[in-house]
Amino acid sequence: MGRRPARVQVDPESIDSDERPPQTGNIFNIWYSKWSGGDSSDRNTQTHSKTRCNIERDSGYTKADKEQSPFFCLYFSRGACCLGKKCEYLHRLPKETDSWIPHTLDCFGREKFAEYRDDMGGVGNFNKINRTLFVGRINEIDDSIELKISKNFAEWGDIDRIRVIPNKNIAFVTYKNELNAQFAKEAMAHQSLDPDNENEILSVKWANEDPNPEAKAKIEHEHNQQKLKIAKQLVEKLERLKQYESEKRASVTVEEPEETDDLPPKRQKMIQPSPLTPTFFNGSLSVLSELKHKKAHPQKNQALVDYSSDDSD
Amino acid sequence: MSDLPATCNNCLGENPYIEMIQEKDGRECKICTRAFTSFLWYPKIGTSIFRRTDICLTCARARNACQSCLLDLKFEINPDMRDEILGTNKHLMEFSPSTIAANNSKISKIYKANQLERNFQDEDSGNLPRHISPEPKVPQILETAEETVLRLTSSNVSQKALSSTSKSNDRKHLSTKELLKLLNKLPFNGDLTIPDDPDIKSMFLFGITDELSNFRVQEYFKEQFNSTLEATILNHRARCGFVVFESRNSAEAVAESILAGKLPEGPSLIVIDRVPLRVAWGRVCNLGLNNKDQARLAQLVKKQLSILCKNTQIPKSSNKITPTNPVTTTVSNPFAKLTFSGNEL
Repeated sequence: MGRRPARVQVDPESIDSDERPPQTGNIFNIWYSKWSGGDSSDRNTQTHSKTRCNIERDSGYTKADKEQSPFFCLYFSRGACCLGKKCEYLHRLPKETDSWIPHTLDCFGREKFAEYRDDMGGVGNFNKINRTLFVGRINEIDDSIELKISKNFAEWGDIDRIRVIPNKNIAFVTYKNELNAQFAKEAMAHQSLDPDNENEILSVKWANEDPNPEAKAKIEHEHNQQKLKIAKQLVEKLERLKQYESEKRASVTVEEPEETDDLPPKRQKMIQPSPLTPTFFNGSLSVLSELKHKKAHPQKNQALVDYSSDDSD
Repeated sequence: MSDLPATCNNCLGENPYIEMIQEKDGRECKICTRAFTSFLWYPKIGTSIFRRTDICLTCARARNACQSCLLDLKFEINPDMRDEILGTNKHLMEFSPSTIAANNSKISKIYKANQLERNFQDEDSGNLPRHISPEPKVPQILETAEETVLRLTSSNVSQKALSSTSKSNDRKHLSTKELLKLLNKLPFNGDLTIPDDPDIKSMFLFGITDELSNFRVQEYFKEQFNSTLEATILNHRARCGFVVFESRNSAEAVAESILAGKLPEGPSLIVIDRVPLRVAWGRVCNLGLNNKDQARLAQLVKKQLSILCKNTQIPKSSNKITPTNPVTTTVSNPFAKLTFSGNEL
C-alpha cells in the first residue's frame, strides 16, 4: 500500500451545524444531537446514517501517524470526518500491532466502564475482553443474509466467526481482534446491509456471553491459552528480576542505614524512577506506604502536644 | 487523603519530573463508585494524551493494581490473571474488588469499599495484625509461575471439554425425510469440475470444526492459491459453509490448482490447520433456519464425510491417517492427530 493522504470524507461546507433529526421528543439536546422526552421507544428515535466509511477509498495518513500513541478517528469510522489529512486521529483500520491502547480505553480513546450499560450499547466494559458484536434489527432475512453480513462486517477487520439467527432477525459477529470489534461497532451502527436501504437501521451492540456449552468450552480454551501466554511472559520477567536482584545485592548495600530520620527534600527523589530500575520493579504504592509510615510518628506527637495545651487552659 | 497516586511506572512515563493535577473528590471510582482524590498527568511531553486515575486508592490497594491502568503494579498483568496464575491475594476475597463489583446496588458497593478501607486503616495504625503476609520473594513467585506454565501446557482440560461437548451433539436422532431434502439442496456429492452455469463463483465447504475461524480460511486461500475471497460463510453449528470468490476466473483457477492432475471424483479434500475439509462447487444458500436444522445438517456432514472417507483411495505414498478410526475422529475430536502432507493438493 502506497502512502497517500487521508481523504476528506465530508465537505466541510456542507455541514449544517443547526441540523436536527426529525422531532421525536420535547427537548432537544444539542450535545448529543438527540431529542428527549415524549415517546422514548428506540425504534422511532433512530435515523439512518447519511455517511458510511469506505476503508479502501478513505484511509490514508493523517497528522496522527507522526505521533507516538494516537487514537482512531471516530468520525472517520462513521464516514464523516471533514478534516482529511489534517485530522489528529488515525484514519485507518486497527491492526494487531496497535495493542498499546490501555484496556481502560477503547480504540477511539473513550473511557470504558466497570459494567455494561443495561442495553449493552456504548463504549463497553474493561473487565472483559469482548470481541463479539450483536447485530439487531435486520429487516429482511433471505437466502443471502449470511453472505451480506459476511461482506459488510469483513470490511472492518478479520472475522473469527458469524452466527445468524434468522427467526429472530439478529446476528452475532466475532472479530479476531477486540479493537476491530470496537471500530466495527461504530462503523456499522445506523447503517444498513444493502446500500442506502433507508428502512433498515441496524442496531449494533455488545454481545452477552454465548450460553451454548460448545461456545463456553471454546471460551475456556481461549482463556487458558491466554493464561499460559501471560504466565510464560511472567516467568521471563521474573527471571530478569531475579537476576537484577542478585546483581543489586552483590554490588550495593550502602544506602540503607542512613535513611532513619528523613528530610522533606528526599521525597521528590523517591518518586523518580531510577534509570537502573526495570519498569516493572517499583510501584509507587510501596513508596506511598513508606512515606505514610514515616509520617505517622511526628504527626502523633504534634496532636498530643496540642491537646495537652488545651487542657492546661 | 493521599499525596501520591498508586501507579505503575509505565503509566507515569519516562519524565522523572512529572507534573500532576490533584483534585480532591475529583472523580468517581469506577469500581466502588465513591468519590476519590484524582490525579491527572501527561506521561509524554508535548502530546495531548493524558492519563488519570480511574479507581480509588482502596480498590487499587486491595488488588495491588495501578490506579490508572488497573494492571498489577509489579508484573503489569491483569490482577485476575495474576491471581489465577500465582494464587495470590486469596485472603482478601471477602472484600475484594470483584466482590464489590459483583454487587449490583450502589449502596452495597460503597458499604463494602468502606469496610475494606477501615481494614486497611486498622492495619496501617497497627491495631490489626497485617493480613498481608510478607511479600513472597521473587524466586518463590518464579517457581509458582513456572508451575502454572507446566500445568497449563501439560493439561488437556480444555481439550477434553471440547471433545465431550461435540460428542453430546452426536446423540441427536435424525429423521431421514428431512435429511434427504437437505441433501438434495446441497452439493454433498458435487465435485470441482467447472460447472456450466457461469454465475456460480462460490464453493461449498463441509467438515469444518469449531476451531476453524473465518479469517484462517481467508488466509489459507490467500497463501495457497493467491486469491482473495469476497466473502466467507462458515456455519459452525452445521459444520459447513461457503467461500465466495471475487470473480469466476479466480474461482476456476483455484479449482484447477486443487485438482491439479487428479480426477474430479466427488468433493476434493483440502486441509486447513489440520482440519480436513471437502470442497465442491455450490451456490450460496441457507444452511438451516434454526438450531434443529443445523444440528441435522451437522449430522449429515458427518455421515457424508465418513462415506467419502471410505470411498476415497488415498495414495499411500503421500498420505497417512494415523488414528485407527479416522472417520469419527475427524468430526468429533478436533484435536485428533491427522497427518496430511500438503503434497496431495
